[in-house]
Amino acid sequence: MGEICACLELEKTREIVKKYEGKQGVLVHILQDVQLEFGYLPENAMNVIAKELDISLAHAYGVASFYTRFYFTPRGENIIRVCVGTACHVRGSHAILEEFETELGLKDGETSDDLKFTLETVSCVGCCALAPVVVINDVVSKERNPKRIVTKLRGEEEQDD
Amino acid sequence: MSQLITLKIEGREVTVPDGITIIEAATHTGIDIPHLCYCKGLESTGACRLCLVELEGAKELVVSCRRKVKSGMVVRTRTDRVLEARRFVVELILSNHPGDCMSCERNGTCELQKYAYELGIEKTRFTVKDLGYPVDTSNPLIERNYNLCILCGRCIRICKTQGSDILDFMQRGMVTKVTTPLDKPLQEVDCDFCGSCVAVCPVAALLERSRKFRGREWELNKTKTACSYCGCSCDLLINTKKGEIVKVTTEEKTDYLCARGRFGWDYVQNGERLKVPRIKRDGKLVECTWDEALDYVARRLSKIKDTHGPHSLGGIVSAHHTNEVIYLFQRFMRACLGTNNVDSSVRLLSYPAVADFIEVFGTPDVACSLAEIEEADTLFIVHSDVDMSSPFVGVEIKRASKREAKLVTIDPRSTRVAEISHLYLRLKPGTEAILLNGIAHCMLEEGLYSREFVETKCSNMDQFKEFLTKQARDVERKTGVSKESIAKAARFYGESDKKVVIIFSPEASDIQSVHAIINLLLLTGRVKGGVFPYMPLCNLRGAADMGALSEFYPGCKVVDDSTTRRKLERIYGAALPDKPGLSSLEMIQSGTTISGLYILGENPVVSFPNTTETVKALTSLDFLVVQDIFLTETAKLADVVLPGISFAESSGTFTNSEGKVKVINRAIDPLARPDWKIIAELSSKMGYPLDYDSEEKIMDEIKTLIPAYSGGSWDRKERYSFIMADMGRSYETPDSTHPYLLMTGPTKFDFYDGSRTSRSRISQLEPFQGEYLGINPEDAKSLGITEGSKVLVSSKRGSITVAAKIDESLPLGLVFMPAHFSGSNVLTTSDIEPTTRTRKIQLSAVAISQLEEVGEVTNE
Ligand code: SF4
Ligand code: SF4
Ligand code: SF4
Ligand code: FES
Ligand code: FES
Repeated sequence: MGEICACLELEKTREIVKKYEGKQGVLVHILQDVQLEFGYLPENAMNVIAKELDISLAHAYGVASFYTRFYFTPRGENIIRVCVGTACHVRGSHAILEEFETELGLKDGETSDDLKFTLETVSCVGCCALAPVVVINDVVSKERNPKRIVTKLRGEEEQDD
Repeated sequence: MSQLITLKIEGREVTVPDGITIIEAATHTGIDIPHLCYCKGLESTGACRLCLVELEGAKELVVSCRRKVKSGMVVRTRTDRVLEARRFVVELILSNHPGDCMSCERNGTCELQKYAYELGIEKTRFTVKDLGYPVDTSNPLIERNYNLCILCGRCIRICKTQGSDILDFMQRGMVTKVTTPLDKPLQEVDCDFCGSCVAVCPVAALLERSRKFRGREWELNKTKTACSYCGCSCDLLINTKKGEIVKVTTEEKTDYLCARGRFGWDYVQNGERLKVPRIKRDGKLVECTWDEALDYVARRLSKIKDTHGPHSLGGIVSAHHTNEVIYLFQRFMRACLGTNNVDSSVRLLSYPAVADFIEVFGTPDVACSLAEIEEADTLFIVHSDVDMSSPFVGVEIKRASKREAKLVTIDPRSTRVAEISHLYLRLKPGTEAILLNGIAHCMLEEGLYSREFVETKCSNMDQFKEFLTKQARDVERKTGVSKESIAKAARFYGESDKKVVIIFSPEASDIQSVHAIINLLLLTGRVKGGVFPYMPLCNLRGAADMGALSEFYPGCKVVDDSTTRRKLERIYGAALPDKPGLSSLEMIQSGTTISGLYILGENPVVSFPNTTETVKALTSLDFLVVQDIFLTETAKLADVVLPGISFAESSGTFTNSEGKVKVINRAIDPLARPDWKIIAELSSKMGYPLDYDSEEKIMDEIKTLIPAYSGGSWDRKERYSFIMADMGRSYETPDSTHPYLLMTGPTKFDFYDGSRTSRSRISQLEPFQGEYLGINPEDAKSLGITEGSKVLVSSKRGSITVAAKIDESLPLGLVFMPAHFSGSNVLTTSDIEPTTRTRKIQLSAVAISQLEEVGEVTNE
């Protein structure tokens, strides 16, 4: 479940790299496409990218880790981001974070084993007026109560199934 | 060669080559510009900004490790503005650096500390942040403490050029870290453990674990000597404190050493070292005095000589000993015992190459230098396990390839070198000679050879043509390499205006491929500097030169040459036998005519083919004396064991793969008796005194016999003949009962018979304790084998159980076992090839079966 077979990863990645054949400065584009495909950058895929572009694996990871948008572990279907920027901090974002942590049994940066949830912190998403801010799947959430948010997200999941 | 220009640094006029940087120009003049990311011998990146200088006419300070010199430039390196800028840089670095200089290993040699002191910084004006990274001590060799890292990036750059290229800057901003992909431990990302990163690190972020709390830099004594593992015999410095080795370093920070050279010395101080002789009493080896032991050996050897004649005695010496020891050993065997039954590791590891060189060129001294590899236009690499066997050669190949040299690799295994090659000929195992002959044939057909050389210098071209035409039949089918690829290789090799070097492993190559390589040299007239046989043991060249071969006297003169014999007899004051003796393989085989055997440093139970036969032959001897530093598998079978010393305790010389004579200096006191003294004393006790008062005196004698060792050169032939021989296969033909071919060979962290490396921490890095069977993933799948499965491997000789290791570099049908693993030779065959009297078969046919059902894999 949620696991992608290794050979599929390799094949898909090769396809993506192929699209950029003969072009220069394509590493970041390839990383983007691969992340779009798998939701993160699997190790197998990184190996293929390094091999095909004839760069070291270390270099590939060096570039990828330079951008905070790239992930190296699978990501949950729902991404919960708690803002811990100054404004949100002052208005109690840490309590919110802690509550999420107990509710989900996850620490900052972790993803649940069933790949349903990822919990993260960000510093300032640019709408301090609404502080404390919680961003659910890239949308600033009106609801701020962690328990209710999680219940709601779980509920939607069930309906989807 | 480049133009010279003149500029002014600190008011001084200096003239330097154009194209260098300001910092290099300053170093030329003896002015030190502070620097952290810059490191002599590495590309500059201009990352740290510590090397800022003032340039007359420029508004901004300039980065002196990047800016090239220009004629008329005026540079100031110590103005107030410069010093302030440097202070800022250092303070900024210090704000991320816990100042734990108190018990830091680098105290006194730390480059950051040095600059903080020079700039008068007592405390950074910034708050010091604790990065809180855990210290990585998960491998036995290198400690990584990134809390101390100053992000200079030197380790990244050196790992690219001489390591496995596994480091880079990861993430950015405050959390930037120089590390491996996903921050994994080194041992999980194919680190070579060359330690190059440790050598260049300016601070204590990377350290040799062996040195922790064992001595500050200023307390260490450094002895210059050379590595005693592979044939490169790299220069190294043994660092000792109070007579104990603490670490091994190099003269220049960026000089290369592999894991064995830099970290594999600790066997020297291993508790298992033998210090006292032992005699077998009632089937048990018990300690005794030196006099008892030597008297006993002298008595037994004399008795055997008297009853069965001198040729019932034999001696085998290992080529990791110095020239002096080896030379003395052969003199003892020939002059005192009166037999040519004296042989060495050369037989199994490099004899075909040595014999061919002597036959065709008249000298064993044919190899180009390591530096010439780096400068070549094209490299032909036959058997590309260099990274395992002679890692420094691998680094030279990599450097050449960075310089755009073309690489052509011939190997059934897709090794690291194969992967970076322009042309990779993946041939069927054991068909090297056929392929090389195919290439030669193609060169003939396309006219890609030196007519002039062949016509004026070679005598048997017509025969050779005929031979090649016959050999070239069916090359494609036999080798599995396409005609097009063969033609491509022929064109690469045939480019007459290019410097091309053939690099090959004399250990892995069969006799016919050595012939074929030499023929290629003759075809193109590349008889000087055209080949590099990488020797798998440090003093193989020297051992052959010293006469540790049963058919050669010192100086590689054949024993039936009466002029040399008379000269030697005069010097030795003894009559010498005039017939070639037995080869090492012939001495240790069933039905051997040897009754008494003296083995110095060699461990045939592990390193000779067909272990069962070897053990049988050794145990059936009347008398076996083994001289070694450990109670090896072979020493355990001996009647007397004499403890010798290691390279770190020795003085003398090695002759490396290039033919360079390397000086070995004693770094610590001998733990037992120097080997040359043991031989000399034994000889005296047998009535043939060998009076030398030092190793130098032995070298003096060698010099009188071999002109090349006293500044002279080897006699070389001026006319050549192609060598042709069709001796059939050098591998056992696989059949339905034994369908796989077994290759044995060196690995990264173990060496030869394993007697030294298995007692060093480096061997802990070998997967499955170094005991495994490498197998292609598809072969594994069809046998139902997964990584770590226990498998039974059997041949016509015997069978053993090992763990399977999936290895994608192996082709279908070829399996691999480390040569140092004492089980591997249980499977191999000791068939002897009659002309070279060494092993005939390189690859043995084996069967593989899974031993036990692997239970459900539960974790994941
Ligand atoms: S030990 Fe060698 S291979 Fe390993 S990280 Fe350091 S430089 Fe690279
Ligand atoms: S580990 Fe050492 S060499 Fe590498 S970047 Fe850090 S300080 Fe520089
Ligand atoms: S390359 Fe060879 S000689 Fe050099 S350090 Fe390694 S084992 Fe020693
Ligand atoms: S601090 Fe949270 S949105 Fe700005
Ligand atoms: S030494 Fe020049 S920028 Fe670091």
